[in-house]
Amino acid sequence: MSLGLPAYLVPRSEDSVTLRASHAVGFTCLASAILVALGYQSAAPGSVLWPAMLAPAVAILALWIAARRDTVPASILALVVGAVGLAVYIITFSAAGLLDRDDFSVALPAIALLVVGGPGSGPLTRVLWQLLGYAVSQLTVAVVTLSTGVAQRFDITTVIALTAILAIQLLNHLLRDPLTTAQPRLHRATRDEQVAILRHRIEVRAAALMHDTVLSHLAALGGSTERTVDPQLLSQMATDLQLLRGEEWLDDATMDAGPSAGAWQQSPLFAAVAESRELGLEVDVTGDVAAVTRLRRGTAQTLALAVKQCLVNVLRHSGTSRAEVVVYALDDEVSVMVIDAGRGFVESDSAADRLGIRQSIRRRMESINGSVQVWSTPGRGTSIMLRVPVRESADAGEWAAER
Amino acid sequence: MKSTERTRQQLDPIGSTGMSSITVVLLLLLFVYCAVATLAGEGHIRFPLVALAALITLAGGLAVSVRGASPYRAPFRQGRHLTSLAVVFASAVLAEVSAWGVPVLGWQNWGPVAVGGLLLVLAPFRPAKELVAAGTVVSTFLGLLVLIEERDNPTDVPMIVAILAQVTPVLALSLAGAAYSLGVTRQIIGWQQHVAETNMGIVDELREGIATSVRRDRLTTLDREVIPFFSRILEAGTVTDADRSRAREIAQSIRAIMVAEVDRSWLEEMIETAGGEGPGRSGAAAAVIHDPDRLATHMFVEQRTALRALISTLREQQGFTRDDLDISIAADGEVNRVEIVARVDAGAISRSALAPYLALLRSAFDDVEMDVGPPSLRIRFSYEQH
Repeated sequence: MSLGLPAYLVPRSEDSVTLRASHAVGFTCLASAILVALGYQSAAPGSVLWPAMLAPAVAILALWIAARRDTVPASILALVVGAVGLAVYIITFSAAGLLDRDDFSVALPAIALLVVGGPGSGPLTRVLWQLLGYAVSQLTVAVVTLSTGVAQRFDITTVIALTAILAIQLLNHLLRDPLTTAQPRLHRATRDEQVAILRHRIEVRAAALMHDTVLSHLAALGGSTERTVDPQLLSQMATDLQLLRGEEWLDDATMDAGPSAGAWQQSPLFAAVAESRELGLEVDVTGDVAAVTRLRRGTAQTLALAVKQCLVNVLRHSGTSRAEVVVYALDDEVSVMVIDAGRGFVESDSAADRLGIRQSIRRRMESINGSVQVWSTPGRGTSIMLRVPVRESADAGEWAAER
Repeated sequence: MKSTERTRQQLDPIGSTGMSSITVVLLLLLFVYCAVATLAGEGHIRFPLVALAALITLAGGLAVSVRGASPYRAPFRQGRHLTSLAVVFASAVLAEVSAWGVPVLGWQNWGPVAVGGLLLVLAPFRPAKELVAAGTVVSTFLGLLVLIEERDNPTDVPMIVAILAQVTPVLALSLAGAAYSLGVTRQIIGWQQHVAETNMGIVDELREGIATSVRRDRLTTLDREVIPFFSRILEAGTVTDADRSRAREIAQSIRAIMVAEVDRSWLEEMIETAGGEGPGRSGAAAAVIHDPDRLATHMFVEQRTALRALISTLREQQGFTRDDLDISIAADGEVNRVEIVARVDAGAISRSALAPYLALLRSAFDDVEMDVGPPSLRIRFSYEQH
């Protein structure tokens, strides 16, 4: 999905991520301030610089609390602790005679004050927090200068940092995307796509059912030679007519019902095999038949319908009345192989308007993220492998069901 | 379709369209800062020509990013990022060399700020991990540079402090960029999950209605011929030759309808049923879409959604009819090429109004090109067969 936040959520998102980014700068500057003090300490072992290491460490803790809590008291605490830390830093360096040795060290705890930020939304609130941070840093420097007589050079680095932060805020505000209809339209397109996928699944099921019932019976009637209709066919026609008129045959909710419970005898595949036997086919079932009970209900039903269609094809086209059904089970997949020793066929030779393999088997299996492989040689029989994942992944819809 | 990286631009191509102008202005300001810092630090510069070369190189490196940030070239990929970063890093090295041996530890030392600033500005376009890795590697090299320089010319600033002055801006700014990238992508992904869940809920609510409508369509077909025919056979219990040929006729007509339906792609379905054409207006898709090999079926959901959004925008223009839209899909080796030609209203649709859709298409398809010259709009793109 390529869908972004809706317009009403964007400002709040901007506020929170910008604050998070600012805090990253603050943590880095304070950590660097500790290392700078360590660096000077290693160069002048006699100097007392530990307060300049401790103060930024405490400021890191206060900033961390402010970042976690996102409340006014936590932000004020971080500003106060940061300001005291800055004062301690300046006084410690001054006492050691190291102040203004570079234009960089003292700017670190000062910049950390600019980025404390605080709760509230909107560019104005953010700017006010940053200006407050800068005011606190300058006030701290002034108080230190007045109370201890320690004067330092004007800290231009902090001013540049403040300017950069304000410029980013301003640009973000001024050049933000104009409101377009594109985002809501994409939002709607994602929903339409989901609806289209659902509709397609239901249509595939409807088409497959039509094929298995109506077309199958019409073929049987069209190809019959006796005047009297086979009573079994009549009874199947009556049942199917009732099914097609009923409300349940496309009830898609069953597709998402939980794993099918019950043993092999209650499974749709068992029923499909039993129905094929009633039609006069001898079916041997072998393999790990219990594995089909691991499938979700809808998946198990669809697989069973596809297997039944394979068996009907054996009966109708293969010239043999025997077929074998073998169930294989892997951790994440169940495979069913339908084998016959009949006359075989070449799939590409079958007429373009024939729907059997294409609709009743292939598309049906695709609708449950399964697959079909056909091995058939004229004169040497046919094997059809139907594979289906045990648990359809949540994002299965990411892969286009062919249509 | 290349895999989506965890970047704001790739997760939200439409919402990131405006980021390009912010990026351009920020990179321009970054260059101005570096130029001013060079002029202000003139006193430290030992090799003016090298300082000039540093600024020219910087301009080149930033230009690579400016070009890449355009929504018309989206998405901003790793190759472009690393190229831009390498050139800006080279400019930082040149800047350092121009004042070789002279300690510049304040704001005039622009090299690390340029590198870190670039990584911060690219935060909407690149993943957090990449920004952190780039910042760490580049700051290590800049630190090593100081180490070499300090050995040649020791100063009264401890070496570790000189290294920190070099490393801190890069790390601070790249970590800020990474924090932004991580935070914003998490929020977008969270929102997308929320939308997916909501969509599932909506789809669930529509499920019954869709099933009913599909059932009704089928029953309409069956009611015409099949049900009366079956009822008659059931009643009689016998079949005549006329019944047999009637059964074959009905089977053939149903099969023809089903083959046509099965072969209809999502795109044809969308054109047939959406917008002003009205459901069931068969023939509309054939007039609009030229896809003899049904290649539309090879698109991923992401690609289908992007195309849906674009087509719905075009269709919603006032007075737009199916005669104003033409979509062709043809195979070209391993890829499928799509061309959309549409009539657009000059007053309603401009190149900039289409920029969000272009960014969206670029995130889903390859080789995206768009020519807008109202009243004609031509969009071409491709996607791999799978």
